[in-house]
Amino acid sequence: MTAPQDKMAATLAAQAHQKETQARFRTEVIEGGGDYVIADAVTPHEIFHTLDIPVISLAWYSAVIAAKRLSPYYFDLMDRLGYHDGLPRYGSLPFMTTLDADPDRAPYGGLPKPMLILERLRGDVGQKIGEQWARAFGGAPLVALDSSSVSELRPDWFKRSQHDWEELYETPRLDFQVEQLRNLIAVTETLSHRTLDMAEFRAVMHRVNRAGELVDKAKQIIARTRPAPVSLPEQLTNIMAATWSRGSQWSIDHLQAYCDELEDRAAKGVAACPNERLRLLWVNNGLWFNTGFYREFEQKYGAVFVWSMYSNFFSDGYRKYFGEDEDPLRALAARHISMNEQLHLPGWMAEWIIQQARDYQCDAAVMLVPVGDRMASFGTRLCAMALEQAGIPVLTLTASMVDARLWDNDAMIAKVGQFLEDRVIR
Amino acid sequence: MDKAPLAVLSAAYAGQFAVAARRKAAGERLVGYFLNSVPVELILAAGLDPIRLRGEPADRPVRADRYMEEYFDGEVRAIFEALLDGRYALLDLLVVPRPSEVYLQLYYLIREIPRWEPQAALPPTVLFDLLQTPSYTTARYDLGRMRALADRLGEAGGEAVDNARLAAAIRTANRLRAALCAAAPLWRGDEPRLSGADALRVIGAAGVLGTEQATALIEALVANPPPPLCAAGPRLLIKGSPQHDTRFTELVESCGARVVAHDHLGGDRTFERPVSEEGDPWEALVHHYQREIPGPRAYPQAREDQRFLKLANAAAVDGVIIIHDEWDDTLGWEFPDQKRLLDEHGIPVLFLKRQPWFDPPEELQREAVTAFIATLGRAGA
Ligand code: SF4
Ligand code: SF4
Repeated sequence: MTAPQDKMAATLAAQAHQKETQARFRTEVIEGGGDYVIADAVTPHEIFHTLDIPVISLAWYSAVIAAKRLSPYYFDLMDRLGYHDGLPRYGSLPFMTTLDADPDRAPYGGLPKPMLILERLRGDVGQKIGEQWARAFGGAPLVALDSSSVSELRPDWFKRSQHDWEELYETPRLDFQVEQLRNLIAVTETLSHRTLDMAEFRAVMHRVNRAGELVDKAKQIIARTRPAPVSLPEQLTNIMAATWSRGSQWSIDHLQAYCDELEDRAAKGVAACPNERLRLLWVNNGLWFNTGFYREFEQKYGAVFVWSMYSNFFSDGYRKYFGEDEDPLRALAARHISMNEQLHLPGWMAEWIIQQARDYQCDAAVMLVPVGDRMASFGTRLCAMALEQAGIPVLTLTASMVDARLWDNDAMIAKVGQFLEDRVIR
Repeated sequence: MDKAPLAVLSAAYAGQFAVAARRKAAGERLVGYFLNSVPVELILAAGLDPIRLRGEPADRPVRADRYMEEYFDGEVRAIFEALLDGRYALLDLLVVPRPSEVYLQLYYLIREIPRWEPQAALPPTVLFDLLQTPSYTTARYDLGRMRALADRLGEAGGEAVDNARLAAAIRTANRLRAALCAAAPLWRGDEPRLSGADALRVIGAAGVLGTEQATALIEALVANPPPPLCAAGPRLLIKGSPQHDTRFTELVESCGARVVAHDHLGGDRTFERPVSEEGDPWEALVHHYQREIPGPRAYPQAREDQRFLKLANAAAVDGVIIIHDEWDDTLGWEFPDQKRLLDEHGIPVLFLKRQPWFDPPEELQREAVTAFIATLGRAGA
């Protein structure tokens, strides 16, 4: 076995790409006053990608605010404005920079008025925050895509979701989502004075599928190779960069290079942790502010996190194949109406994660249940029970994710260590 | 009627499962539902018998907690406990609406249970996926959901719903709404004859009893009302998370106030508007449930807030208490705008955030309410 290597070349390329995208946003939008869209993470960014309109995802700007250590200031502002401390507040940090209206404080001088705010109402609050935010911008257009719900959780979604999605996600829901997407396209075309090109849109949709195939290829390499050729934080960097620029040629080229490098490392026995003895799943939300945590258990226990939901949701959840005589909009509808259902509904969440545990040869799972964001906690109890029933020990970590300072790293490391000693190491 | 209507209504409210059992024994085919977002008109039109059920604080989530995260609204945890306990098994069908994320999740949990407890006695359960975004596209989707629910009621033994049956059912349900509107002055008028807690009982009983019987009882109550209450104290409106049970209202009234209106899913706004009796009955029904009923997902918020303010004015309130469930992640976003609106209209407000539904902190609630009442000046007037 070889010693752990420096970062993968692909990881460095993904990070550089993210920086470039941000730089482009600054010059074109913040300094240049160009059109852009504020969009929830689970909305169809593909439409804007096809139209070449920059998209700001709330997750990204929230992360920038947090990284600049401005969250305490904005949480304090929320208190003063009357938004109580039990609300899931992290995702609304960008909205607070608008209410604060202090360009000297907000990252990059604050977000300018967008061409459009796009919400998808999968919880109960998108429309409320969206309306208030639109008003705070002095009247920005708000489009709220309503979120229909599947009536039947048919088994094996991850085997059927790529080709057999019409029945899986239910025809009336797809009809409704297609109509909503048409409305969104019409609004976007009107506001931007651009036209959605059918051929380009079709090509974007094919490229997303192609990227999903490459993510699946990466999965196969990591799943079968012991010790794993890449660490979880690096997996995430590579996959998320491709997710955010899905539909681009860059995402395909990047994932191809990532796969090639993984193959190469696997062949040479280059490992994230050459000492790997146990393989772990990280279930539910990511620990974005502290990805180093995933690697804390390698030295002492040889325990390596090899999977999180973001490792291959792109391949299992995003790919939607459609025929040349079919409307790609329906495939886009299928992709987005089902996203959070597959990740969070009790039956669907559990069956997928059990399958991943088997594919990745995992010995145990650690599941994060964030306090103060109950949407992300739903389904976790049944999922943990199902994993245990399938013979996969689970540790549930309950923690506040609003503020990195509330994460007690030593206590969490101790908990995972204890769990490994008590239930996993034989 | 031999017993006073209020006594019959109060007993029905207090014993919802006893009423269900009685109705079942009398040959009714019961379709249970929650909250205000299931179209009872469709159930009536199918010739089936609607019953609106609620969670009860006595149903502490012992079995439910095994499956359901503690962050659900307390009332939903109680409902799930009662379901696991088999108390819903007498229903021919349970319709779970989707007014909020927690009820949606409740539906999926119910569907998962047979895998874990094959012996659990659960009713057949269907989701009613009503969406409330104010758009034509959504109305078309809701129309489809209404038709699908009508089909499902057919499978549960109901008759095919045609326009004539639906129009008749709309009139029947509107008569109950009109009876409640006519009863509202009994708690909301200048000279209240019912307490705020009694108001909740009457409104609650209207959904537990058969529609015709409830209408007759409420009409009888209006025709023969109890004498005016001698209670004094400021007139308050309670708003926020659903208060189907009377605990908080009674606590507020025991502090020396009169609760004259409720703006939540167990309160006054659930019957304020009839379904239109003009035009296509399906479209009228869609319009009503999509656009005219209150609910946590309904928006624009400004429109909902204007309706809240209209109720506050109609009830001539001296103050408003807004109470939110312990894990509320939704209504809290509305509060700053509502506070501003109330300030503009000179209506004082007390905000009780994050209140546990099981074992509420009654002493703290009492202190806060008493202090609030003292600021209103009219206490004891
Ligand atoms: S993982 Fe779940 S909570 Fe996070 S963005 Fe995706 S759907 Fe939302
Ligand atoms: S408010 Fe409407 S439903 Fe109520 S009595 Fe008046 S007309 Fe009838």
